[in-house]
Amino acid sequence: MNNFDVIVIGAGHAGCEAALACARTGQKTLCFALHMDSVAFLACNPAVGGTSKGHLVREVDALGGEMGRATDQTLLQSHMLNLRKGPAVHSLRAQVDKQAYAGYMRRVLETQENLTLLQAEAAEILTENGRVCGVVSAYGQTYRARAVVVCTGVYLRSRTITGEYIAQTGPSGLLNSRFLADSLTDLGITLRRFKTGTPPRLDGKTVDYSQFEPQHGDEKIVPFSFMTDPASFDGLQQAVCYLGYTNEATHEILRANLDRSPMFSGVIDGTGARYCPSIEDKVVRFADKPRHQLFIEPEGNYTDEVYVQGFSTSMPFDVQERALHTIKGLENARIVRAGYAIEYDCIDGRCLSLSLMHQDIAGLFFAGQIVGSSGYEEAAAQGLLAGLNASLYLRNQPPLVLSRMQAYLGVLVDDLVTKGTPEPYRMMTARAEYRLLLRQDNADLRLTALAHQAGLADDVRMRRTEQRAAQLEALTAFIDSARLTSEQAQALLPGVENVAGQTLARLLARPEITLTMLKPLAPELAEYPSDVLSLLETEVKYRGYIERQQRDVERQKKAESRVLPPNLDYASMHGLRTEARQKLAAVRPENLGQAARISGVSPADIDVLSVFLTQLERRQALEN
Amino acid sequence: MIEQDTIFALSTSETPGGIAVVRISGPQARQAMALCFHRPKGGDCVPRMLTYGHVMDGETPIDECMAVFLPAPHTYTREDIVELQCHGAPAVIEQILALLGRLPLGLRPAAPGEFTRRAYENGRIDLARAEAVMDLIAAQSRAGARRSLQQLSGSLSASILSLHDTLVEAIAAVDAGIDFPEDDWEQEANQRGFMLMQSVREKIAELLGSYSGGRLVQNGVRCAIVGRPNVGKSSFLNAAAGFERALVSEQAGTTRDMIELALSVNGMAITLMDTAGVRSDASGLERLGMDLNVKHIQAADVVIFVADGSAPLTEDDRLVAQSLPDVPVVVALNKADLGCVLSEDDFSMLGGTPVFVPCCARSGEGVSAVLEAVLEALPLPSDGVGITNARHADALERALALLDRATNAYAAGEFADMAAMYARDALACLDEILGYGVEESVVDRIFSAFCVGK
Repeated sequence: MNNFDVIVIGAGHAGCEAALACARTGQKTLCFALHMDSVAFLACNPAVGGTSKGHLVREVDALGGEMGRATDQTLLQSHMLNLRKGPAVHSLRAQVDKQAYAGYMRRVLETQENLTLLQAEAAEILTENGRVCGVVSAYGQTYRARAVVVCTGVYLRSRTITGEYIAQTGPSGLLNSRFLADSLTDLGITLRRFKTGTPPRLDGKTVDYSQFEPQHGDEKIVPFSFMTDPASFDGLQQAVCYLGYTNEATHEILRANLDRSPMFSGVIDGTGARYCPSIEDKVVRFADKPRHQLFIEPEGNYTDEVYVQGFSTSMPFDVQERALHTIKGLENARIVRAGYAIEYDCIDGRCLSLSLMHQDIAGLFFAGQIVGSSGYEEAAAQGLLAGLNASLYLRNQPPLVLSRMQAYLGVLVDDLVTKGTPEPYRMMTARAEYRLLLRQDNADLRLTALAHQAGLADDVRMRRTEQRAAQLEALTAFIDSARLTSEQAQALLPGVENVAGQTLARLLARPEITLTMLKPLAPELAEYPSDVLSLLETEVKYRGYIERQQRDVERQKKAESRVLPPNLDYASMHGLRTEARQKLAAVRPENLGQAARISGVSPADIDVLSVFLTQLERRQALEN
Repeated sequence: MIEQDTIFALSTSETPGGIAVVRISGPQARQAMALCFHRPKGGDCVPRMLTYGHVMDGETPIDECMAVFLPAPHTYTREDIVELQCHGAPAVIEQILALLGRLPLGLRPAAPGEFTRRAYENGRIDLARAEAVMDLIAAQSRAGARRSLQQLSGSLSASILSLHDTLVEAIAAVDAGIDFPEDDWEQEANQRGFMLMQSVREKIAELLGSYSGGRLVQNGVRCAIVGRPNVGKSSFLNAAAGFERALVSEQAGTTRDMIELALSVNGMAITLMDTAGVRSDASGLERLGMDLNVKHIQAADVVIFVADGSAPLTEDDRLVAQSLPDVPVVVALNKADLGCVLSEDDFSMLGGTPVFVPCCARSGEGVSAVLEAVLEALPLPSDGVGITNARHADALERALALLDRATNAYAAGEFADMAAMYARDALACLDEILGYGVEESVVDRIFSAFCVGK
């Protein structure tokens, strides 16, 4: 009865994907939720995606995860960001209905074969000879499993702070996790304290929207999931968001009350994220800015609550209220839920391997904010990977490790595990060195086959990907060979010489030519669906640079293919500097490429490692 | 074999010596030799046999040298190796290294310790010595990184660091706009990123402009003294030396070997090269001397064209004028004591803006004025910041090309993402010069410079 293959602790965005990944690959899975009413709870903003986060959602979907579909199903508004910045950084962002989102996801979990949900606090992780063997609940029940995925989010020994008021709770007054932290410490895992925050929610009926600038969704909605039919959005009435600004009066109130701010008075000692400063932080750090923008976003279709993006704060309730009242359109606004800061325990990701399994405790996986990330999308992506790798571990198969060249998820995990993070880590396109290859439009072509092979992406999804790949290939062959007549070419580019006889691909590579312009001239193009056409356009426009990045990728792959044994004794290795010895011993990189990314390890140290590896390889060759 | 690319480096000490050995190792070594080393009789070299010839940059000879091709596997690295034994002058070595980097074979400069590493990895050095090799490589690698920094003068390294810094800021600005497109500073950041990229681009172009001048400061100036026979070239050299270094006689065609004289003029090192006089009816030994000297004249940074100011120009003078390389020319109007019948118009065939200085080589009068004119004719850096190292110049040239692409992509409108990637590649080129000593993250810069948040 209480015997499972795998136990997932937590049912937030990481936990849900982890549990689904395990159950969908045939593992008998138990998922602990602190509260059944907060499964897949969007504790902060009512939106999914955004720059680089949208890429992660696409990748989760391509790997057979649920977040993309859940978003498509509960969409309030959709917007493709960065349309003017180049196709590689086009990013989807969707406003969703919070309650509907959580409800949809809970229903998917409930109806998933092999998956059991349980409302209970996980109190202790059991191990035996360095291997995980089960979890004990706070009720005292013991559940057996050979793998455990820890996805405690921001709930581990968390406390929330609003001014002088401190509550020992998770987000929004929810229960926190009281016991598990000690169990982790007993297992020899070092915990540290991170901090994040959220803005107040207002009663939408008390907001004067006429004072704000309305922000509408895109006319043509691009779905998050490769499996969602775009036509399913036809007729959708999209919600509206509103743009407004703080002013000097707002800043004055915040400044005058800094002594009551827990951030400045020293009540909070967790490390916060620089990209997510509270409004009082912004006012102090960017004192010369006369105003900061904020967005009013709906929390859902069946509630009047609205979210004030840009106004994250842990000031006392009365200060929050007075500051809000100085904002045009919010003079009479009523707070429904006050903003707060939240502190929680998390681990240092450098104790994990790239599969997200702990280096010393077999079968123990971690995913989400406990690893040091922040954000729903970062959590979901790790959850999927940790869940799938727990399943592969149980099936005695090698883990799925995604490289920085393959996926944003690869960048995310490598950053957390190899470099570690001094603050809650947010995905950014600036972190991806191969971002022209890692686009949201080709996530399926990059990843679905891998997930299908691992048993997670189903056949229907795989066929869809193969179909798109085949269409892209045929289309590429067509435009690489098709040419316009000289009259057509002259009409297209009057006055430009040597255009006649050029292939469509050559023409399309010109910045001033778009596929839409070529469509009337080459009727064959109409045979292809619009998603494949735009994929092609991107690849052609970027062709030169993509080839350049491909060469880098090949070089990098060479380094990544040189495997470092996990039990290397760096302390006694000749030629390494002391700092490099310590850093290498702490991270225990899995290959030479990863070792090179550890801060404190120099190119000279890598040369030494390379020589050492050669020695090892030759010795092994001699022995065999 | 693990590495497939071909590497090259100066294998002898970097302090100037009589002979220097440039080593090329890898599968393309033999091809590289075929492209840049020409035997007088043509044809391939016999393996393991030292051969005489010239290192050629296309049609231009760079140096006369001995070369040997050593086929794999019985070599130091167990790869194909070519060794060029050339003259030890830093200018010559730099030209050869630059030429190798430019060959369409994808050769790259060897990393510090890389020959040893290849020797080891290809099994040339046995297992028992592995630990010693690791220590050696660590030491070489670190010394190389230090040397790279040392090769930067203080002011130069400061200006490269500042370019690096500005470029990080530029990328951070563009990327901040990409990662936070809805913030109200987005447009401004975008514009600023573009502007900064352009300013870095311009400054790199400026630095590169200083390369030839900086190289001269570093390596000294090679100055050829040319003129028809018996016009007083050797007398001029002697006057400059203050003693009779060159053999001087009244007989035309006395100088057949080239004579070099190292001088210091206003703190600059100048090597004067007395060349065989050029005349149309030379023959025999004199002819051979003239031919040999042609390549030295071609490799000069500046030329002193000695003419007899007291007599009208002859056919031989015109012959000399036609064969001058494309470098600054100072015309020394010799025999000023006998009066001057020549004017600038007589030298219109020289083109450009040659400088005319009257002098009397026999008495020494005006000789120092000629030498000062030589310095003034050269593009020497005024503020002391100049690129002197071919590797640095190469990295800067690549950075420049990448920034061109970045700003073009940007100007084309849509491709801020691509522009930032090209700029990142340019940044990597600057990293090479700084010896990877700089760790400044674009992401950190985004957070410190822009007010981002939810």
